[in-house]
Amino acid sequence: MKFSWGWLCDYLEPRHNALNDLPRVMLQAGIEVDNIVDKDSFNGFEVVEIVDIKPHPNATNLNLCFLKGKGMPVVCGAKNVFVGMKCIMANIGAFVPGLNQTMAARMIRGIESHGMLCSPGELGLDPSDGLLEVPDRTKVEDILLPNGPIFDVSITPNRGDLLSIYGIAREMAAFGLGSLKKPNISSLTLNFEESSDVIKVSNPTVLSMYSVRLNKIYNNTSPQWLQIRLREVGIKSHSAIVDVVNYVTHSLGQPLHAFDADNVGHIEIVGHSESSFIDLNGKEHKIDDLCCMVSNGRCIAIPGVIGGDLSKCSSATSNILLEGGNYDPDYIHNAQQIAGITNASRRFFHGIDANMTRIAILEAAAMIEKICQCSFGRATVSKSSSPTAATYRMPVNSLNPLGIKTEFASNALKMLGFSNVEGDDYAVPSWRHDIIATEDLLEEILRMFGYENIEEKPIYIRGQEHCTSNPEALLRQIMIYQGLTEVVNKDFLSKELYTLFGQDDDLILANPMSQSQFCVRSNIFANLIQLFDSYMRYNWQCRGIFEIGDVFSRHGQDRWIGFAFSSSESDDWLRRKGFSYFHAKQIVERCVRYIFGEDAKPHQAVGNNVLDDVCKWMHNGIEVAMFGRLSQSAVKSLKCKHMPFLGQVKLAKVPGVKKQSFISEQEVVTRDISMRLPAGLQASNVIDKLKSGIPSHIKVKLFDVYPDALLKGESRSIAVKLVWDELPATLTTEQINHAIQQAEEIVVSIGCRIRQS
Amino acid sequence: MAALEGQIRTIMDSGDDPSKIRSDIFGKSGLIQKYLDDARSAPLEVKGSLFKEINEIKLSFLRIYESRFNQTNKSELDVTLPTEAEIGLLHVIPKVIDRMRELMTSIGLLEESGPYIDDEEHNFDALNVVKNHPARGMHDTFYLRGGRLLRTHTSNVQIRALKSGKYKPPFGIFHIGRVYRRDDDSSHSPVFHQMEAMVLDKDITFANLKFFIKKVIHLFFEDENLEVRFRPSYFPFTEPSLEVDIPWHQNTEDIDGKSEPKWVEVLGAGMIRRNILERYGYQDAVGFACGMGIERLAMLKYGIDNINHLYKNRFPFLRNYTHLREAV
Repeated sequence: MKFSWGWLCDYLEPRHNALNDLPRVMLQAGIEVDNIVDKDSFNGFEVVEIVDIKPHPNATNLNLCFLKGKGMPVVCGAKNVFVGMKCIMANIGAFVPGLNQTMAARMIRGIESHGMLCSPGELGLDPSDGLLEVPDRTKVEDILLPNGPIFDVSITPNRGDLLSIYGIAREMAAFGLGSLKKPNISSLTLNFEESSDVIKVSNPTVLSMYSVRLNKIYNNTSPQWLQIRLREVGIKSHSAIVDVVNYVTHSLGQPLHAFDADNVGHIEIVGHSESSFIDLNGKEHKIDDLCCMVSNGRCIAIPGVIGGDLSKCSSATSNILLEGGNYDPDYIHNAQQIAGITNASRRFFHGIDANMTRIAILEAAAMIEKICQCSFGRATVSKSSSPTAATYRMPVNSLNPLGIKTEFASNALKMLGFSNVEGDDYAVPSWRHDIIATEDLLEEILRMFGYENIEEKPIYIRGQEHCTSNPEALLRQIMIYQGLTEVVNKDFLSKELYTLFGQDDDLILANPMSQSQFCVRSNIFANLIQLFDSYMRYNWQCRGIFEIGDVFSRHGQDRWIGFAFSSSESDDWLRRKGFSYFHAKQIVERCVRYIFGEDAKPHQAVGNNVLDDVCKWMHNGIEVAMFGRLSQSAVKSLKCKHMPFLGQVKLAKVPGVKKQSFISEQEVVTRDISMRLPAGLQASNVIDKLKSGIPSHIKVKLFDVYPDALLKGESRSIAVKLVWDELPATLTTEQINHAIQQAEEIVVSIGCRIRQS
Repeated sequence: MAALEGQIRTIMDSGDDPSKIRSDIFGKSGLIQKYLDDARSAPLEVKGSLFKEINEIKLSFLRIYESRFNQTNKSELDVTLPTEAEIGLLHVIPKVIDRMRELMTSIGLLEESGPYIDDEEHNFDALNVVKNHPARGMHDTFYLRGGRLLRTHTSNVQIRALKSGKYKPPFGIFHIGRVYRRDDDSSHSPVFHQMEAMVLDKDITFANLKFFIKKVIHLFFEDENLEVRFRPSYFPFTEPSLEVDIPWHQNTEDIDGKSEPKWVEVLGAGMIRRNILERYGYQDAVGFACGMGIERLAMLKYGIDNINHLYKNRFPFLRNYTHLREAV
């Protein structure tokens, strides 16, 4: 919502220093000031006179303009320059609003230009060709801000009453910035007769409907002052009639519409009509089942939203029907879905002051009479409404703890237009649709008191005694000490990634903003693939990346940690063999151990279209982790250059500290067993068999693999270490030998051959 | 004993190989051993003091030997050879989340969880944002084909916590998680994080809410004197509602007071509307709720000017903004 100080003062008799205090008071009232354009905004601009014009030596369409009192010329491409012209120049360093940039000295076709002569568009005014010519002896701010500073403010959705200059003046008057001046309509007396002859309302969504006919109008361009006022608040000038309608709408918050009366007959507002409608901007809408204004069998307007092309006012218009009404916001909401949000619909949607309709239509009629010399025809009201005011009790008990006296509170409410009905009961003013409960009165009183003036009081949250630890924070620390870098991705997948990873149509976005937002992620490492590919392309010195985040399924969401590791040769002299599959797997496995302990078991899994060499970990029958290498086909379909290792681990609550029953002081005993494996047998099978066959307190640890980790080949060997720790007493040689013998029998039984050292 | 000392000095100064000197003096058949052997046959009453004296000489000359010849005793190992000390980087957003979580826990709030994919009831209706409510236009919502939506704020957790009935006043809870809005520019990301806090008791007032917010902001920015600006605002589920700004100095020149700071909004808050509390059986309780954007806090704390940097994850950027040893 934009307004100029001058326009505001049509309705506000400002007190001393009111302009200075305005931004602060608006903030106190809850009106957020987004921007102020005042004379400081035009520092660096000045009015100059052209004393000589020479053609640019290197360009046919440019001139060199020499200015009075300035040594250096300014290069200018405008057609309307002439010697003696006065215009506005932006000096070096001035911020040019229309270009959104700061002026710098520039070489233009070989000649340095010391500033720029400005067009209206460059000054942030209405864009039009040529320089803005200004009259003699004017100041820059008089030209650019004839109505004083311009404010651009944000209105919260509950305050439809502030979508008008009058509404803001009323609020500012309540906050003590001056006194409110009511719209002056005494100059015009029109009697509205109750009649449906002109407009018949056959639809309950219309709450009120007024109309006035004006005849023998000369619809020229509107006067300069009106054009400027509209331009300052961002409304384009069309013709006198349209400008007046827009002006009153912006001024009083009551949207109006003017029909070319010669193009409409009797009007009826009906529930629905023909299925297509062309609005006054030439845009076509499908309007099935939507309330519309019908005349001569054709839809002439979507009431409350936009008028039609058939009945719009033009320079040839000589008779008009001025209409003003009020509508059910639910209907407006639906209509906006079809026809879009307009200046009118926005105000109806947020709620207008039902008592303003008549005043606004009179104000517009009076203005048109003044500007266009017309005569008045019939004034009718086909439906009127005067809603009864709701009343609420002032929350007296809530005021005392905040240090607010009842007298202050009742006075504050009265200033804001509430009327004291009885005792502490107050009636809500007709323009305040947001007051729906007692606590709303409290907010009104607090706003007037000033949020800043309420003294803070300590609060001690006497919540349940608790102590939390955050395993994720520790996990992240563990990961960075493995050389991994943490990333945070948006949790959307593109269509390519969905094709590879997604399975659930329920997770596809119905209204994405871009191609990268096809669905929400069902997998944590999907987002890491292309990101890490760019890491490798840039050769950023990073071993791998990880992310902790939520992934989704139709049943809910789970938290996972995902990894992508470099598969290129390591340049670490400690790991000469390169950063292999197993180095990367080790990090994933450590993470599995941290969360699930020894309970999660690795399994060789069948590769899929994303990963090769897949290892999965199962815990209580559920897959909790996965590791593998990006497959050749996925590399191709994702247009990657590298084949990283990828992994993911499901996060779960890490169990707390288990109390140990005894603490062993015995020396730890170890014995090694080395064996040849038959082709196809997995080392993890051997270890699992061993663990289940020998006493459970003996740990089994793989410590050597020869010659490699492949499952093929007859001469594959592994060596395991049996570890006796946490012993209650010293072991005898017999006990050790017995266990070794047991272990050897187990491995032999599954086809291994013991290698004697 | 002076003779022993003299003989040792002679050997030390002989210029022989240090290892030969060592064995000649301290070795098994060296000079000192010889004197010790001799001392064994000395009379009992002087024997003890003799041993002691020889040993003292031995120790003092060992020190002299070490300091004179230690150069040659150096190991062949190049102990300065650097081992890999590469440590990864932590991302700014989770760091800020961790800090916020720690802070909330420290002032007595319990962490609550909640779904990111939710329905209209919990994201809108239960928060008084009924269909056609003007506030539904405040944030444009992502919908899924299955009919559910991506929550537009963390306030759905408020509703779910109240609905669960597991908390009895007085209590305070908080939740940190992702939220989604159809908005994408230098200060808005379609995905971002929010923190929601809610405190209920029988006699909480707006004055307590102000205290709570100031405390949280001061603790987070580690600045007890940071100015905090409260201004009225609007949320359908709180009344009175407010928004909170803090001053943002774009460059150091500003801090000297040469120009006005820009005020930046950091959170929204308010007293929870009665109809919501009553709907879930909290007739006798009053309470407040507040929500803040994690990214906004991160950007202010670390001086980041574009929210998209946080989600691009470019290594040079992360390296610039993550200081391993900083106190988080």
